[in-house]
Amino acid sequence: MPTSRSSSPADVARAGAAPAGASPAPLLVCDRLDKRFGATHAVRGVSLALAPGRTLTLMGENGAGKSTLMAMIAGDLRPDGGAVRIDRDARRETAVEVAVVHQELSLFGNLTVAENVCIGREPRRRSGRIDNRALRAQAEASLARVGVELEVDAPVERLSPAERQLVEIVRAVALDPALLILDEPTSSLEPSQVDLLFEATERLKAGGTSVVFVSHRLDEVFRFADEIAVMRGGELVASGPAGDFTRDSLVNAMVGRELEQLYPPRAVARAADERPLLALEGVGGHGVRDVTLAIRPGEIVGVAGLEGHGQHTVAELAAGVLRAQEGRVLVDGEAIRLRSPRDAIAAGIAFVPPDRRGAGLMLPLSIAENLTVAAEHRLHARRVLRRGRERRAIVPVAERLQLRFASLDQRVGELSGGNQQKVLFGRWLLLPHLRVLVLDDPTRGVDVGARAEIYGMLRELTQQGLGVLLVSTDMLELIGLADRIHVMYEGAVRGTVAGHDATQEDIMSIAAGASR
Amino acid sequence: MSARSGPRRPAGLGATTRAGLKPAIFVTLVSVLAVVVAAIASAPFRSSTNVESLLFQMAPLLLVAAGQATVILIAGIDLSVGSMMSLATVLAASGSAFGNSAVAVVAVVLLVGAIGGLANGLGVLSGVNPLVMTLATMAVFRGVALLVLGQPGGSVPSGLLTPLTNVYGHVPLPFVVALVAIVLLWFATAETRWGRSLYATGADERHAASAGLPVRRTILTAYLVAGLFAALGGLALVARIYSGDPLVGDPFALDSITAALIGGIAVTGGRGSVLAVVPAVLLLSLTDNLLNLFGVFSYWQYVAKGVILIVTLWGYHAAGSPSGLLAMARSGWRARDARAARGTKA
Ligand SMILES: Nc1ncnc2c1ncn2[C@@H]1O[C@H](COP(=O)(O)OP(=O)(O)OP(=O)(O)O)[C@@H](O)[C@H]1O
Ligand SMILES: [Mg+2]
Repeated sequence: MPTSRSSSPADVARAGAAPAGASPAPLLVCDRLDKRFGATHAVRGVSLALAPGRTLTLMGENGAGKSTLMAMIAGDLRPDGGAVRIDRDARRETAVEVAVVHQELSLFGNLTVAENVCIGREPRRRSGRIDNRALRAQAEASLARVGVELEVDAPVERLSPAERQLVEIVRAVALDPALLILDEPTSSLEPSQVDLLFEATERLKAGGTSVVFVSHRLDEVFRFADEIAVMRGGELVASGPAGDFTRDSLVNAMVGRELEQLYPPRAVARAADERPLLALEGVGGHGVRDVTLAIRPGEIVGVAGLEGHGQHTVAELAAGVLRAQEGRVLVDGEAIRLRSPRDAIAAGIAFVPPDRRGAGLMLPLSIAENLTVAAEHRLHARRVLRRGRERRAIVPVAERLQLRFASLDQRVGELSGGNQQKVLFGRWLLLPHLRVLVLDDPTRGVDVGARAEIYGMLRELTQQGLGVLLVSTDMLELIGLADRIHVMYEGAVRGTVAGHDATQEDIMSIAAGASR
Repeated sequence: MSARSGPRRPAGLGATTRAGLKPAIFVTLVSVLAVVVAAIASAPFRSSTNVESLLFQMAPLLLVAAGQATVILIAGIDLSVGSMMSLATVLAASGSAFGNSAVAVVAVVLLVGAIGGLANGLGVLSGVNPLVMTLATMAVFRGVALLVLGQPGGSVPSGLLTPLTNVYGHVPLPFVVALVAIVLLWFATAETRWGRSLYATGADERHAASAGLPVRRTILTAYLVAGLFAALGGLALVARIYSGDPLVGDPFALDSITAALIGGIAVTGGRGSVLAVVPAVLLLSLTDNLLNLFGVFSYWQYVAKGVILIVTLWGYHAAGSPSGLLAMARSGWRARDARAARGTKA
C-alpha cells in the first residue's frame, strides 16, 4: 500500500508522473497547503502534483478537508500556508485555468439553463447587447457536447437535482479548463448520467485537461482514477497510481480501520399478516398514480426508479409534504389525511429530504438547534428552552452519527456536506414517537464509514419495530437494505422485487419500462 | 398588410427578460382598465389639466422607483433615495451659487446623486447591511439638504425651470425623460452582461463570485444607478414645486419600494423587471389622482396604497409566480414547486 505521508512535492510529483517515456511537467502542484477555520484545522500541509491529462480522485471521510482543498486549488479560498501552482503553459491555451463543479450546486435558479451555462461569457452584438439567439445556440452546443438533453429556456429552479447537477457539469466542461475540479458531481446522478460525465472527462483529458474528482462511491473512484489520494483529518494519508489500491486498502486508508461490512445482516422475516405501520392504497396525484405499498414494523421498503419517474413524489406523499389526491393513507390501519409534514410528524412519520440545503437544514442556525427542532416540545417543557436537557439528549445522537464538528453551537452551514446530511438524519432520532422514517436519498454525500454507521443504525431501529420507506438513487443501497423494492416507471409501480435476491440488472430493466 | 407583420417575435429578448415582464402584464391590465373606466365615468379626469398633472406627478416616482428596482434586484434596498431627491431640489433651488446656469445645476445635481450612490455602494461593499447603510445616508443627505436650504423656497434658474415645465401636447418633458431613462435602464438590466450579473448577484452573491462575475462592481453600479435616478427624480420634482424643499422627497423612499414590489420585483432579489415599475407607478398615481378627483379625504390614499400592495402581492402568489415577501415565506416549498414542474424536459 503506498503511503506517502507528508512527502515533499517533488516526491509526489515523481509519484504522480505519467507512465513510461517523457514525463510532462505537472499541471497542478500543491505545496504544503494549510487551512484553519477557527479551531478546526481543515487542511494540514497537503502537497500533491498532477500531470496534464490525468485524473486524480480524492477520497476521504466527511470533514476530511476535501472540499476545502478544492476551494484553495480553485482560488476561491486563500490558504493560510503553502501555495498552489497551475502551469498552463504546459499545454495549449484554454479559456480558463480552473473550472469547478461544486459539491453544493452554485447555479442561479432565477436564470434559465442557457443563461446559466453561458454566465459571464454571453455572446454579444456590437451594441453590447446580449445576442440571445447565439446564447441559446452556444448553450445547446455545450449541452450536446456532454450529451445532456434539456430545454435551454427552462428556469433552473424548475429542474430536478440531477438535472441541475448536469447543468453545472455542462457549464464547467464548456469552459474548456486546464484543470477541472469535480466535487462529488455524481451524488444525485443515476448510472447513465454518470456515464455521460465519464465520457466528457475522457474527452477533456484527451485534450490535455487534468481532472480532480471527489467522490464517496468506490466503484466510480476506480473507474475515473488514474491516481488516487486519500485525506484523513486534513492530512494526505495515501496517494499513488490507482492500480496500487484495492477497495479494501482504500477504505482502510480512509477510515483508518477495517470496515468489515457495509450493509448489516438482514432481520428475520416478519409475519406478513402483521398490521402495517404505514400503508398507501391506490395513492395518486402530483404525477404518480395508483401506488400501493405497506410498511410493517421492522421492515425497510425500498422505492427505486430513474430520475423523473415519480419515486421522490411517493416519498413526499407518504411524508405529508404533498397531499394525496387519490387513494388512502393508513397509519396503523386507520385512514388519515396527511395535509402537511406536521400531520405526518404527529402520526410518527418523519422525512429526510434529498435537498438538504433547500428543504432540510436551517443553515444559519446551530447544530444543536437543527438537531432539536423536531423534538422541541418534548425537550422544552413549558416552552422555555432548557439547555442542559437539550445537550444531554443531543450528545449521544451526535456521537452515534460520528458527527465531525467543533462545537454544538457551530453553525450548520459551516459543516462539511456529509456532516450536514448526518444532522438532517439525526434530527428524527430525538423524536420519541417515531414509527416510520421516510428517507429520500439519505446517504447522498455521506462517506463509507458513516454510511455503514447509518445503515447499522437503521437496522437497529427497525429491530426495535420502526418501519422505513427508503427512496434511493443508489441501487446497491436498496439491494443491501430493503426487504422489498418497488420499482417506479412513469409514475406507477411497474414491478416489485425481493431485496435479498434482487440484482441491479433486475431493477434497471423494470425501471426502463420492461414489464414484470 | 397584416399578413407580414403577424405575431412578431419580441426581437429576440432573453427568456428571463420575458419572464420578468410577466407579472407586469397583470398590473398593466388593471391600470389600463382603471384609466378607461375613469375616462368614461369622469369628465374632470379626461380634462387636459388633469392628464398633465397626472403625468407631472408620475415622473419623479417613475425615476426613483426604477433606481430602487435596480438595487432590489441585487437583493439590496436603498432608503436614502427620498433624501437624495430633496437634496436635488434644494441644489436646483440654489442656482445662484452656480451662476444660474441650468447646465451647471444639472451637472451638480447628477454629480451629487452619483457620489451619494457610490457612498451607499461602498458602504455595502465594506460589509454594512444595505438597510443600515442607506438608513444612515438617508439621515446624512437630509441633514445636508437642510443645511443647504433650511426651509422650502429658493429660486430655480429659469433656464432650468422653463424646459422642465415644458409640455409637448399634453405630455410634460420630465415624463418623457423618465420613460426614456427607464427603457434604457430596463434594457441595460435585462439584456447586457452587466444586467445578467445583476440578476446573478441578486440570486446568490457567492455563486456569482465563484462564476467569475464582477460582483463588487455590479453592487457598486447598482447603488450608483439608484443615486443618479433619485437625483433625476429630484429634478422632476422641481418641475412640480417650482422651488427647493429639504423634506419634499421623504415619502418617495417608501413609495419607490412599494412601486417596485407592485411591479413584481422580489425583495429577495434576482426576479422581476425594471420596466414593470411603469404600470406600477401608473396604478399608484391613478389611485391618488382618482381619490382626489372624487374628493376623498387624502389620508385614505395611504390606506388605498397599502391595500393595493397587499392585494397585488397576494395575486402574484396565487398566480404561482413567487415574488416579494411571499417568496421568502414560500421558499421552504421550493422543492415542491420544482417537483410539480418536473417534466420541463422537452
Ligand atoms: N467556512 C467554514 N467555517 C468553519 N469550518 C469549516 C468551514 N468550511 C469547512 N469547515 C470545516 O472544515 C472541515 C473540512 O471540511 P470539508 O468541507 O473540506 O470536508 P469534506 O472532506 O469536503 O467533507 P464531505 O465529504 O462531507 O464533503 C470540516 O470539519 C468542516 O466543518
Ligand atoms: Mg466536501
